[in-house]
Amino acid sequence: MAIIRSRPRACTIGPSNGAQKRTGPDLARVGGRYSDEWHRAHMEDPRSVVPESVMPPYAFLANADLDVARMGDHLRVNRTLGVPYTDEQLANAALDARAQAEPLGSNAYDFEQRYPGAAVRDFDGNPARVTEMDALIAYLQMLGAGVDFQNLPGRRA
Amino acid sequence: MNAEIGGRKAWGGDALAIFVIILLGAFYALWGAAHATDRAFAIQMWTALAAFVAGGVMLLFFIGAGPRADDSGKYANGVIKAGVIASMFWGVAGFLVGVIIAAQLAFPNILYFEDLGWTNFGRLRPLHTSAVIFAFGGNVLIATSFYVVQRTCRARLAGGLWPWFVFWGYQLVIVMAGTGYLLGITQGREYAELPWYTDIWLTIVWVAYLLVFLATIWRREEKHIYVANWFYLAFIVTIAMLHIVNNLAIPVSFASWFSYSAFAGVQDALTQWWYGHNAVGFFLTAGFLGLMYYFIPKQAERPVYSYRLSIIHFWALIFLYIWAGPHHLHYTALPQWAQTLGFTFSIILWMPSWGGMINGLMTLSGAWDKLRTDPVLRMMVVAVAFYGMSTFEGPVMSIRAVNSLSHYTDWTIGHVHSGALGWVGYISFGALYCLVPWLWKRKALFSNALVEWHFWLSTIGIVLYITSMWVAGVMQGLMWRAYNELGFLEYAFVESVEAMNPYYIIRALGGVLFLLGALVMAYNLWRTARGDAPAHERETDRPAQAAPVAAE
Repeated sequence: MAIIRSRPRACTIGPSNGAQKRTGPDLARVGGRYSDEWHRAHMEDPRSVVPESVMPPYAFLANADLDVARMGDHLRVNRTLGVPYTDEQLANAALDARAQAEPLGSNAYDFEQRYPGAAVRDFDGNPARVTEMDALIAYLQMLGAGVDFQNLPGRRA
Repeated sequence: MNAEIGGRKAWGGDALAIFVIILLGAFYALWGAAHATDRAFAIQMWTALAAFVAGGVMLLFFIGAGPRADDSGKYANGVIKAGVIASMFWGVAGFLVGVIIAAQLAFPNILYFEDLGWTNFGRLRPLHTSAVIFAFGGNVLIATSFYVVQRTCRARLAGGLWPWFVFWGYQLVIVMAGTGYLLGITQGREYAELPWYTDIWLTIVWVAYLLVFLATIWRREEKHIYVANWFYLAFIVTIAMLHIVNNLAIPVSFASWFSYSAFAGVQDALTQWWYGHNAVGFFLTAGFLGLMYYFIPKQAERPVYSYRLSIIHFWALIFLYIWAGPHHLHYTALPQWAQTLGFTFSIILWMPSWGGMINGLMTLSGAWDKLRTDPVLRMMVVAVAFYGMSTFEGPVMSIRAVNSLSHYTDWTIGHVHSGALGWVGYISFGALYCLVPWLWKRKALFSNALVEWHFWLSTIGIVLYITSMWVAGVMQGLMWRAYNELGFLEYAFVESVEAMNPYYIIRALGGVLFLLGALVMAYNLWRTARGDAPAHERETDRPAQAAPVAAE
C-alpha cells in the first residue's frame, strides 16, 4: 500500500470523487481535525467514540504488519503514469515508508529531507511495529492537509 | 463447426484451443502462486489453478468419451440448463449477502466482528453488487441469449465446445471476484472492482461469448435478425468496449494483485462513470430488453405490439445512453458543460425508455385477462412497469437541481433497487419460470400457487425497500443542506446517520421478503425440473433444421 505518504491520485480533485453514496461523512478535509488517538479508537471500535456510528470496526489493521517490500514498484508505476517521483525517492521507497512511522529511527532525517513537511510519528500508538493502522491513520491525517490556502489561484488578498 | 456426417470428432479445433487456454492459465496461476508478493494473491492463484485443473480434467473426460452422435440438427440445451441453475444459485447468494449488509447498517452492534475484516461492510458490499449484477444478471443474460438466438435464428449454437467455455470461464470470473473481495482485493472502481488478471480473463471469456453469438447469427436459417438479438448484441459489444477502457491499468508486478489506473483525477472519475452508467445502460437495460422482447410475446402468445417501435427503441436507446455517464459527477471538478451534456442526454432518454415500456405493455393487447391467471406473465409485466418507473425517476434525479438534493443519499440506493429488483429481477424471474419447463420438457411449472407466493412476497419486499429509501434519502438530503439562523449547519453528519435507523430496518425487512420469494422460486423450479410436473415436448424443441415454417 503506497498510501503512507504518496498522495493518492484520485483524491486530488475534491470531495467524494464519483462516489454513489455517503454512508459515512465526506473525508476530503479530515486531515488534522482529530488526534491520532481518536482515529485509533475510532478504527478499533467506532461506537466507542461515535455511539450512533454504523461504521465497521478495523481493529485487525493494528495487527497487520505493513508490507513495504514492493514499495519501490508502487512508486515506479506511479512515475510511469506521471507522478514526479525522483530516482532517490524510488531507491529509498521501502526505507522511507517505514521511516515515516519511526521518528526515532535512523532514516527519519533522510526521510524528512526527501519529503519536506510530511508528518513523521508513530501513528498507531505501537512504536514496536509499523502496521497497516499506521498507514491508514497517516493517510487520513494528510487528507486536505496539502492544500495551500494562502496561494490559491484567483484568491483575492 | 466440427460437425461431420454421422458424427462429431472428439478432438476438434475447439477442444484443442480451449485446452491451450487452460494450459496457459494454469501455468500462469502456478507461477503466480510461487512468486506471490502477498498471501491474498497466492490464495487467488491457487484458486485459479484448482479451477484450471478441474477444467482440464472435464475436457479430457469429454474427449476420452470418444466421438458422439451428430447433434448439428438439434438446439444446444445443456449449456442453457447449466446457466439457469447457476442464475438461481448466484441469485439466492447475492440476495442473501444483500440482506446481511442491509442488516449490518441497521444493527451495527450485532453484525460486525472486530478481528474478522472479511465480514466488514466494505468487503461484503462489492460481493453483493457483483453477485447480483454479474453473477445472477450475467448468467441470466448468457443463458437466455443462447436460448433466444437459437430459436429466433433456427440454428444450433455455434462453436462446438466454446459455449461451455463461456459458461465455465464466466463462473471462474465470479469465484475469483467474490473470494478476492473477501480477501480485501479490489480496484476500488464501482461495479469494476475486479483486479487486473481477472479483468484479462473476463476479456478472453467475453470475446469467446461475442464470437459464439455472432457465429450463430451468421449460420441462421431465418432471413431476419429478430430485435431481441440486436439488444443482446449491443449489450455484448458495448460491455466489451466499456470493460477494456475502464480497466486500463498498470499492475505493480505480475505477481501482485495491485494495479494503478491509467487515468487520474477527474479524467479517471469520468472514465469510471462512463463505464458505470453504461453498465446500467447496456448490461442491466439493453440486455434485459432482449429478454423482454422474446419472453413476453412468447408467454402472452401475442406478437410484439409494434415491431417498428422496437427498432426505434433500439437505435435511440443505444445512441443516447452512452452519453449519460457525467450526470454521476454533478458538483465535482468535471467541467460544467460535460455535466450538462450528461444530464441533457439522460432526459432525452425518457423517450426511448417509455417507447420501449409502451411496446412491452401493449404486447398484452387482447391478452390482459392472462394477468389474472398467469403469475409468470404478471411478473414480467410488472417488470416492465418498474422499467418505466425507474427510467422516469433516473432522468429526474439527473437534473442538476434535483441531484443537489438526491446525490450521495439513500434515494440513489432506492432508485437502483427499483430498477434492479423490479425490472431486472422480475424480468429474469419471468424468463427462468418460462425456461425451466421448456428446457426440462415439462407441460407446466410444478406449482402456480408458489409463483403467486413468490410474486406477492417479493412485491411487498420491493415496496418496503424503495419507499423506505425514498424517505431516508430525502431526509438525508434535507438534513445535510439545513442551516440555522446563524449560518451554521443545523445537523452534524452523524445525526443524519442516526435518523436513518428505522428506515434501514424497514429496508432490511424488504430484502428478507425478496430473498424469501427467491427461495420459494428455487424450490418450485427444482421440483419442476426434477419431474414433479407432467412431461411435455413442445413443437419448438424439434431439430432446428427440420423445423417447419409454422413451428413457432
